[in-house]
Amino acid sequence: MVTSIHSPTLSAVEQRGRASTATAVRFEGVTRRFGEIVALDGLDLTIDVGETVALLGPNGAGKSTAIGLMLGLLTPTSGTVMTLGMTPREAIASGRIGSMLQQTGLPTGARVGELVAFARQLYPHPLGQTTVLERAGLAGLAGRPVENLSGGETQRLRFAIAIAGDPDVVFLDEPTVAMDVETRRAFWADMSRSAADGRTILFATHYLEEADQVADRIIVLDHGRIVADGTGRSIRGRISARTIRFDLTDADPATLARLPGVTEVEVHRQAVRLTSTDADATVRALSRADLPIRDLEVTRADLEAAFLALTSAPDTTKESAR
Amino acid sequence: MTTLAAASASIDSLRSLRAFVAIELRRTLRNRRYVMFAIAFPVVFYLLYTGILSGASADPTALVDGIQWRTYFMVSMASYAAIVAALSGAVVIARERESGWTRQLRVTPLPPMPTSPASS
Repeated sequence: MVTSIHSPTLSAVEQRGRASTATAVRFEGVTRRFGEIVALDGLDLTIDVGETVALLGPNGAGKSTAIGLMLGLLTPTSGTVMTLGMTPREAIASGRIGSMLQQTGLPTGARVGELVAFARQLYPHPLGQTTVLERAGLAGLAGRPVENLSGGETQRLRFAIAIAGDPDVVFLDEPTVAMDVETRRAFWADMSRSAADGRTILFATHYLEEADQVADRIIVLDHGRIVADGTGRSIRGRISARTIRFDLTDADPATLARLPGVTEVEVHRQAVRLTSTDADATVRALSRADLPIRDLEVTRADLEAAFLALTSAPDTTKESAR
Repeated sequence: MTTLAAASASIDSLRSLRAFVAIELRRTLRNRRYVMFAIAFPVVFYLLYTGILSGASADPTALVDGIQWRTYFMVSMASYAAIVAALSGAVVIARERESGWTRQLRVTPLPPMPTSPASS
C-alpha cells in the first residue's frame, strides 16, 4: 500500500517539490447517492497541490460528502476520486493527509498532550510536540483532560490532531464552528502560513466572508453540483447582484428581460423588480428605452441574499443530504 | 528499495499500533468504574474467599470436582473479570463510534482494524 515516498534520501522539501507536479484532488464524474437522495451529482473537479480552496454552500449542498469521498470515508456511487494521485485510502495510509472532520468527539480519559503525542506517532514525519501545541493555541492546556475542554478548545485540539503529522494536504470540514473571533483569526493566520509553505488546504464552510478572505479559489456547491468556481472576486462579481425597482404600467416582462445584465424579472401589477448583475448598464438601457418609469430605486442585494440567489436552483424543494 | 520501503512502512504501522494501545490502556486505567469492577472486585473476592474467610467454612486446599478450591475460584473470578471487561469495552466502542472518534482515526495512517484489542 505505502509506496516509497518515505525514502530516507529525500528531504521533506524535496518530497514537497516532487509532490507539486501532482494534483491534490481529482473528481471525475463523481455521483454519490444516499438512497433516493443525490448528494453529489456528476462532479468534475481538479485541485492542484498548493491551492487554498474553499468549498462553499448551504447546508445539504454536498460539502461534507465531497470531503468524505476525498478521504475515503465514503465511496462514490459512480465515478472516480483520486487524492494525491492515489486512491483516497492509499493517500491516508501514506501519512500526507491531515483532516479535521465535522463534530468528531474526542476519547474520554485522555489528556490534551497525550492525544497530540498519539496523533504525532501515527505519522512518519510529525511536527514537534510543542510546535503543534503552540500552533493550535493549546500550549497551557497539555495536562487538561479532554472532557474538561470548552467547545472552542475542543475544536483547537481537533485542529492540533489534523496538523500533527505535518501533512501536505489538509482537509477541514467547517473548522471554525464554535471558535470565538480571536481563535478564528489565529486559526486562519496559521492556515495562511501553511498555505504559503506550499501546502494544499481545502475547507468547507458556509460563511461567505471566511471563504473570501482565506481561499484563493472558491467552489460553490449546491444540490450536489458546482454552481460557481473561481477566485473570491469573480464569485463576488457573479453574485454582486443589484435589485432595481420601479413602477411601470403595462410592463412587458419579455422586453425587460432583454435589458443588459438582467437575470430575473418580477412584475406585480405596476411594480417591477429586476435583478441585475450590471445595474449601471441596465439603468442606462432603461433610460434609453424611454419607458415611463417612476420611482426608480437601485439597491445592492445584500451578500447573503445574493449568495442565496446563486445557490437556490429552481428546484429547491428537493431535499439534499449533508 | 521496495523491500526497504515496505519494511519501514511496517515499522511505522507497528509504532502507531503501539502508540494506540498505550493511549487506550492509559484511558482504560483512568476509568474508575472499569478499574473497580474488572480489576479490584475479582481480586478482593478472591482474597476474601480463599484466604480470609476460608478458615471457618472451607479449607482452600479442599477439592471441588477434583480441583483445589482456590484454583477453581481463581478461574471463576478471572472469567468474571473477562466478562465485565468485554461488556464495558463494547460500551466504549459504541460510544466512540457514535461520537465520531472512530471516524477521525480512520483518516489517520493508523492501520485499519475492526476494533482495538486494547479497547476491551
